[in-house]
Amino acid sequence: MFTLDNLLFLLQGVPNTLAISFLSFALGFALGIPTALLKQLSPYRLGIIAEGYEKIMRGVPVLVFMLLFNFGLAGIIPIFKSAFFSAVFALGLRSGAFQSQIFRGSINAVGRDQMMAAISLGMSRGQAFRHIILPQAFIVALPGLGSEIALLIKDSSYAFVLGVLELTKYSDIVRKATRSFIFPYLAAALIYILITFPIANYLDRWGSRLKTRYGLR
Amino acid sequence: MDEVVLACEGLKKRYGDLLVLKGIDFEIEKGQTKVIIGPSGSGKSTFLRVIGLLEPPTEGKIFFEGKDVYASNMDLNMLRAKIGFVFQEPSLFRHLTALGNVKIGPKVVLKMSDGEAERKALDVLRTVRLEEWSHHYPAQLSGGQQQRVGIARALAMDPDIILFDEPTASLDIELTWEVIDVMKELAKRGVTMLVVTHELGFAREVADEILFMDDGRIIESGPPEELLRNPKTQRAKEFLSRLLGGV
Amino acid sequence: MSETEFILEYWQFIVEGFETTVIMTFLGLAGGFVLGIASALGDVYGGKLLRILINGYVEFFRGSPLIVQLLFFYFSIPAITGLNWDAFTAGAVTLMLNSGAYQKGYFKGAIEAVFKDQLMAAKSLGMTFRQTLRHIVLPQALRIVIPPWTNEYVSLGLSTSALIVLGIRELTNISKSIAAQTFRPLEVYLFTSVIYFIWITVSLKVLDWIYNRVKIPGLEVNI
Repeated sequence: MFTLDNLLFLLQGVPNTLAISFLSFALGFALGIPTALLKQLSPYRLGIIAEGYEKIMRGVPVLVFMLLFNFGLAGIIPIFKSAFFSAVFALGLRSGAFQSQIFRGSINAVGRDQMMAAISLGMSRGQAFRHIILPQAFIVALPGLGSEIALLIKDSSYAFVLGVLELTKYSDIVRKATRSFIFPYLAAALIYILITFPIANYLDRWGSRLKTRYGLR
Repeated sequence: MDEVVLACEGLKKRYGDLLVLKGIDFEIEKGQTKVIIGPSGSGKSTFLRVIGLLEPPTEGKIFFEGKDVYASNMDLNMLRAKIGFVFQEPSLFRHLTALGNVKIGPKVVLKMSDGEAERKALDVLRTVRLEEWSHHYPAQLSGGQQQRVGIARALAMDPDIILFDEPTASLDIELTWEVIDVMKELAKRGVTMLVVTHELGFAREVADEILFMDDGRIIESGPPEELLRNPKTQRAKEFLSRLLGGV
Repeated sequence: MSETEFILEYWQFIVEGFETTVIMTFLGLAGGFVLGIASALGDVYGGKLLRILINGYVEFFRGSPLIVQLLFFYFSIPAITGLNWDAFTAGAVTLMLNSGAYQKGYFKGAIEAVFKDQLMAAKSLGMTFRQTLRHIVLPQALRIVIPPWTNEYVSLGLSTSALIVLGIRELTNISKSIAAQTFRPLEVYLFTSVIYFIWITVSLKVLDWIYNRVKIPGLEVNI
């Protein structure tokens, strides 16, 4: 039988789930912006690296990368012995590719006229990007970033396969312990929904509000 | 003779297969206001963008205060700072208030302190009569107000010349007046201005010279009273009669 | 053993794994296609109750991870209905339900994108609702939907790796076994990555080709 105690036990998985999600988002953010800029600003050859990176991360399951890191690289680079780190790193790499696409789209949405206005004042391209283009691009990118976080929260469940003690693993433990087949996973699903829904929703609405305020469509 | 602020020799600009500017010689002296008119597609905007250093020429030379702009040791960004540009679509920075828009050039490019930049910005906004609106965002301003902020933004850089690319073309008639008024004031104050426009009233009142451009070349030029009343070339005659006839 | 010998020895398993992956992908997509269109039509044209049910379905499957859904359905359906089902069936059905929820979003966007413009025109010609749907809405919607649908194909294809939790012998599962047996995880997983990558890249080229043959200028709406 599934009891309230079981539910509380299950919730112990939430901190790790959130940790994996936000850490990988941060990694993706740190990788995504430079990659987007690399493709925009760079000569042909360097742009190819960015494109290759994106294609690879979108063409291979994130779980395979997790396994590759946790089992394949563990011998070479000790930090990958940690399943948690491997999961975060794999998700973060993929997120970088996804966020790069989001940022490229939003940079393009800002418009060439803004760039021209900036250089007409004497700004260098770098200054123009820093002060004019990127702040606006960030606002446009908010809904996209919202769905990216939601995706990361859900895909943190792949860490289950590596044995990380996140929400899905806990729900599996509870199922095995209580032999209740319905509620542990159902409760976990509902918890995931409760976490992703407000975050994505909030970012979406915040993005809309800012877009209207600044006339960015 | 006053110093020549901006000049060009044999200026050509090609986009792909299309030769838009076919060899232009031009110069403007300090304090002068020159107006360029001509049919659409004649290359007026392109000319302004190239001589304003926003796009490089395919051939020819550009001189700013006597120096060859594209010679190797010139800092193009600094030159652009000294050449003010007002666009047809105001292109204000949407994420900044009016004040923010006018401040950012002085701060980031001229390296002024925040306080100095703000004082300068408010001063200039006063000139274009938009001081009360300084904390509004572009999305909250009318087209005419946006364009005046655009002018203020260029003015705040203390440019040696301001280029205007059909500044009132995208505005309704009533809003056009407020912008033209500001431009007239600037001209009377001695600001060096090169303006592409259809507003012949403005040209008549403050221009030192009108240039007629067609098909990538300057076909005719002269003081307003002469050119507008007695155009010498056939193309200018046709263009002006169409333009004035419609008014 | 050398690389080539190694690949040949396990080749059969890899092929089986890849086949399972592809079969699961197509089953999920096909089932999801039917569910997706039905849900989209139900959401756009249906009554309030239907819309609530459909949106509940969509929110559940889009808001929770596929792995949790797989575990849930595999274990709970037998418990609820008393019917026993195997991992393969459970996996396929869950994939269909999952994909249907995502595809509904794309179809709804496509239908609405067409609908606004064209309904008036069709009406003015005297077309009935059904005729409008058949001759005007669907032909356009089905073309508009191809680009996001391509994304769903890729997304689903890669997420078949989640089937590992049910013990289904798809490609990731197979490679995990091989890695464990041969003690060469680095090579095995790299090789697996390459297989997935080639599969996805080729698929995308094919889908692009189809799209280019079928598309009509002016009919590329951003959903």
